[in-house]
Amino acid sequence: MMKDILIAEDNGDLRAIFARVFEHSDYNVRVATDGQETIQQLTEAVPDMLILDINMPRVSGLDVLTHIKDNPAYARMKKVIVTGNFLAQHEPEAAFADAFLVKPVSIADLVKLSEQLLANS
Amino acid sequence: MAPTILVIDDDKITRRLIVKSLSKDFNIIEAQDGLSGVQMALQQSPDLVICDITMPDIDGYAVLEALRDNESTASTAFVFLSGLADPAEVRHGMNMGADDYLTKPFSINELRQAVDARLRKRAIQDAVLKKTVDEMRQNVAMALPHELRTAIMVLEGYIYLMFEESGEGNAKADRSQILEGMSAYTARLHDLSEKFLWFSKAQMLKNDHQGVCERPAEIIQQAANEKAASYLRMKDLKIDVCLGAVAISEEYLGHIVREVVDNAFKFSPDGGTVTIHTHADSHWYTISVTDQGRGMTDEQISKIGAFMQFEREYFEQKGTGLGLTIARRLAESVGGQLKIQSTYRDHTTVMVRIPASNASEKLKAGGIGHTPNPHSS
Repeated sequence: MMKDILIAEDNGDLRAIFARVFEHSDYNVRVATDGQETIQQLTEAVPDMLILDINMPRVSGLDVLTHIKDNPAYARMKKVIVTGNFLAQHEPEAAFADAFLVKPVSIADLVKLSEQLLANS
Repeated sequence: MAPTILVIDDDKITRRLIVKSLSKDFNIIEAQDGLSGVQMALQQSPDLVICDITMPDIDGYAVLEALRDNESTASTAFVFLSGLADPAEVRHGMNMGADDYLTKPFSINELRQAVDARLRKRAIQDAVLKKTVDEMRQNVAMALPHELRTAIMVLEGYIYLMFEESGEGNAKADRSQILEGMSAYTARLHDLSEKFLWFSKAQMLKNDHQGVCERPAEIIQQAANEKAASYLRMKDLKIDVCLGAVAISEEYLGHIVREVVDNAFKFSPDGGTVTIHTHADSHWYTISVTDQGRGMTDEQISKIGAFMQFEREYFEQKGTGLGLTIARRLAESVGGQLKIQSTYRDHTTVMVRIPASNASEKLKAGGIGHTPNPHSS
């Protein structure tokens, strides 16, 4: 069955690259351009995996994690942080994610990691 | 140390009243007319000036104008004192840059409150400025790597796509789209590395930079045009530059202008005018670059190093905020300075002062100097 993935990334080029790469790997892709949209998309449907940037307009990725942290509906969803903000690693919300990757992340590695995380779920 | 207050009033009784009510907590100096008031202000740099409007010869408005025109007193707190209670007069004084207005007769209490409020505000502004430099340095270390990371990741992503999809005979249009993306990000990386180079250079500068530019108008125009063109906003650029000679190399001057103008375009919307105005006197050559961008609060100016980050919630910026840091350092290395004045959500003016070149004055005195026409290039 096709897995659902939500990509939350404010850089348009990177977002398009992620979307294209995951579509090629047979994922059902949705995208969000900021934290607020991410929360909205997550409320509409829970994906199998969330790729989450941290420094995004309006609502940050960490805020998104805070928002869903205590909601059991998102417990099974895999959460992968992909960010240039390496300091965020020490934020308590970051511990809630399944992986914390610091940009630049090799796309091939990201795809591989996603497959592994979803295979174990 | 007690703050110094300069009282300028031709009326002895008013002066005495003010001295009496304030001298316990402040260091008060007095002037009985506008001219000596201006001289005292320039010599002693008081923290606050209380000035009567109606005085013979040089009136209060002229005093304020003279102080605002001078670098060392341009931002000194200024309170007008007058019997003129006409609201239009009050407005005129405030428009000219007065901070407050007391109408005679005033109570000691009113005077005290006005003085305290002005000095408090000034103290906050000073603290904000002081914070600026420290934060700037901190943020620089973070900002550049973040920009680099994103750009590199996008490039790698495009390359991945090219490989991945190479066997699928993907459409030519698709490939050229990817190539366009790659070239845009390569250009960005190029700019970033250039910027980083200048930043390192600026950091290492000792204050012994020697150089003279005899055609600042031309250099400024060139650099500004180059930037406006790169943003495809030639129509938004308004330049009014004057002749002069400055104690800085053409290379540095050009780079300062490029950074400041780049900043102005980056932070203002397409169609918003970017105005470059210069002013030359015997000491300084001043370049003011004003944009009709979002403006900044004092708090944001204080975080100038995090330039690209403030209001990031609303405006995604492609920039590192390094530019103004570089420009400031380059200006300082020749004994100049860079200042930012901004009205939140309205406009921002970056003012760069470069010392006038004595060397060129000597040349001119000797009759070998020439005056290039800035419009001839």
